[in-house]
Amino acid sequence: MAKKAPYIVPVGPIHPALKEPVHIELTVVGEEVISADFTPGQTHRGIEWMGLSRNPVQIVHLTDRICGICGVTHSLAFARAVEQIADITVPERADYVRVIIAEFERIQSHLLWAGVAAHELGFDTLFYLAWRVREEAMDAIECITGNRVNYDIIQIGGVRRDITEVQHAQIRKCLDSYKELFGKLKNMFLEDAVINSRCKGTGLLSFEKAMAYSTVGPTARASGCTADLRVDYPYAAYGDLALKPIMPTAYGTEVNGDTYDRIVVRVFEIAQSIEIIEECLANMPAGPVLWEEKVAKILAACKKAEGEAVGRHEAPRGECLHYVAMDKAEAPIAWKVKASSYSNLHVWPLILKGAQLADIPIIVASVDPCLSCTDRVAITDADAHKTKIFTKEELTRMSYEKTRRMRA
Amino acid sequence: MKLTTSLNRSLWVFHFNSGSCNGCDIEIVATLTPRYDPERFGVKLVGSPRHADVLLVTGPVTNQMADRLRRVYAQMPGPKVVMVVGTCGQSGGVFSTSYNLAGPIDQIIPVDVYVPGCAPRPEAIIQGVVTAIAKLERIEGGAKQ
Amino acid sequence: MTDEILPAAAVVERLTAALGNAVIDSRIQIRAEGKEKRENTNIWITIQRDAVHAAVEALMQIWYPHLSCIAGYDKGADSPDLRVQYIFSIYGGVTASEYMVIFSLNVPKANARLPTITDLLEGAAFTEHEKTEYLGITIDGLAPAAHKFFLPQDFPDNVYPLRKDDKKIPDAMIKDLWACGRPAGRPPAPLGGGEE
Repeated sequence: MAKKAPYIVPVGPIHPALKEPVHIELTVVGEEVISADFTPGQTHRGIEWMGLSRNPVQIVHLTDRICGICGVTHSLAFARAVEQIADITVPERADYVRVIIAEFERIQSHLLWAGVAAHELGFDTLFYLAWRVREEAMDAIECITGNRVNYDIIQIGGVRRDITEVQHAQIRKCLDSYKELFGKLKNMFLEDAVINSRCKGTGLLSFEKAMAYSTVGPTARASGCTADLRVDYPYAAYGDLALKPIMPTAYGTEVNGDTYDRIVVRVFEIAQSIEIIEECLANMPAGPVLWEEKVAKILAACKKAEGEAVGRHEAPRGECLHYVAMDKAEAPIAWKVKASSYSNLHVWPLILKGAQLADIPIIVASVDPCLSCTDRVAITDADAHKTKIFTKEELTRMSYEKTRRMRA
Repeated sequence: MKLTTSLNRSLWVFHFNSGSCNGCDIEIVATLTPRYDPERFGVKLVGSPRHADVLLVTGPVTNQMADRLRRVYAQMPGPKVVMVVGTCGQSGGVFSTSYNLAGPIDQIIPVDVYVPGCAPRPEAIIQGVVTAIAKLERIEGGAKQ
Repeated sequence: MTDEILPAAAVVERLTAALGNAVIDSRIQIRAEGKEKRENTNIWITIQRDAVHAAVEALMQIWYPHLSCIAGYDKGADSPDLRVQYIFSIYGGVTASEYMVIFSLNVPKANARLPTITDLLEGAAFTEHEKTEYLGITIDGLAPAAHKFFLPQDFPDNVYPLRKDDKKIPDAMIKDLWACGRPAGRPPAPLGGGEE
């Protein structure tokens, strides 16, 4: 399998219309994939290395920008790790604000993904609709945090801004509009004939493999693993809520572990997030939102801290984990970032096996990759021993043609 | 600016992510959605740099991407305008010092329009695109590139 | 693999019984957050490097573990050791019962090797390759990767980003992006506050 090195177009991974980059190499016989190999790492910026020369308050701003879609995930996981080492108790109100922000982030991330998945199948109308609906959540997030992306709202020991009564009105407006729209969204995504025929039975990930590869998040739940950090490992305000992990059975279907199940899980998680935000708004306790207002005192506490801890958070894509070790110095001596997609990416070779060429875009996107890695896809015809480079455009075009064939 | 009286060309934009966190890329895609609708300016996203007038770049350039960025820029036919979206493309932003970053984008290719912000709002990106249109018209009118 | 949920102390007891002298120390950390202060439990166990495979086997006897990742760091420029953490969690999928079980071990730099656990957990290959690229630890029993996963393909050999000793990133590779000023040779910016 020769890997040619012609001109490579690297572009952001999230939106397929911008040519999603992921270096995947596939061996193909006819139209069917035999095996796959992938190379991430094109956006390696050296963040863990940078973190070893900054203090925790500075690192929180860095963690916000590890990934733009899961904005608060990394900051929350990191802040929780440092709070465990420095033995800082987060005020209860701050826990609730953190949960509200995290759930808003989950809503906008799932709507983003829903639009991307629709686009991969050729449903541009659904893509624009999902993103238009997403704007309501972005307005609510902007009202709370001041920015649409990269919220910068987490601080070691709490959150930097409170949610006031005035903002409640904006939040409720957003939630009400989503509750009205949810039935429609559910029908459009889950009852459409073409999405059913394209997604059912493709990209299968069995329960055993999902456990052996330690997959997380909706990808794992769609295959039958009931693990959900918010339910199993109560942290922040999640311990006060009665939650159940969302499984494909929420839509009355069996657990198959295919692409369709992953859509089901994400669509129903949006509804769950809406309920969580409402419950938190209703039950938010009064009090301060920061353990300590003065940043100098937070830094002083971190300088005296010694030990190691693990901070986890259930991101929209799964478990995000930060391991931090501090040793009475300004900067931590160890910092490991495990993004949620880290645990999900390495199942691509498994779920792409036996897939058809035209199904590659939707299967790759169904794991909801969140990496800026890129390349075109190199496909080798095992029989003919030839390698052809397909651009993302060609693969997407094949995917659209398959949709048209199935509708005819 | 001739924009409101007559529009000779509709701008075709090619987007290039040189290693960003995707925040700016999401905002760029959000700019294309019906709420902000830059298609009223004739702005369209294309799949190949050879069709594009404007190159939209995000991210501090990682070492792997630096060469590719140069090649994409070389493949664009003139007159062309380069627009940098986001603070990390201008000065590194949060990624101020690293071993795998080749520098702000203007160290790799010449830049014409900077849209600061982390991430800039869609309105700011639209203003950047409009500035790029104005610059292109000036270039076509004979000004220096 | 038993089906019951054991209390944390019992889990520690079982692992210590299975590993014997290889366990150097252990501690249980409890954290409670939110209004109702529901607790979550983290179990930290320090073991000898050679017992890692046996430790994972013993953990699998208790419950099928979820491997989050393998973390590691350099204890210092003048320290002879690297410290590696195997971060597992058990009892996931059962409400309010998940424990983290973290095995910490020292790996001497002079003999930076670790046994693979991919025979027990297939998905560990990814994170084991990462340790090879970032810390220079050779994994015994794992076929070397065909290409680098996390670093650029032309990254120099014998330089490992997370090391702090002579194998760390050399100063020549570090670039200060903030120090690059306005590039020369560009036309001056239009005055008057930008375009109308």
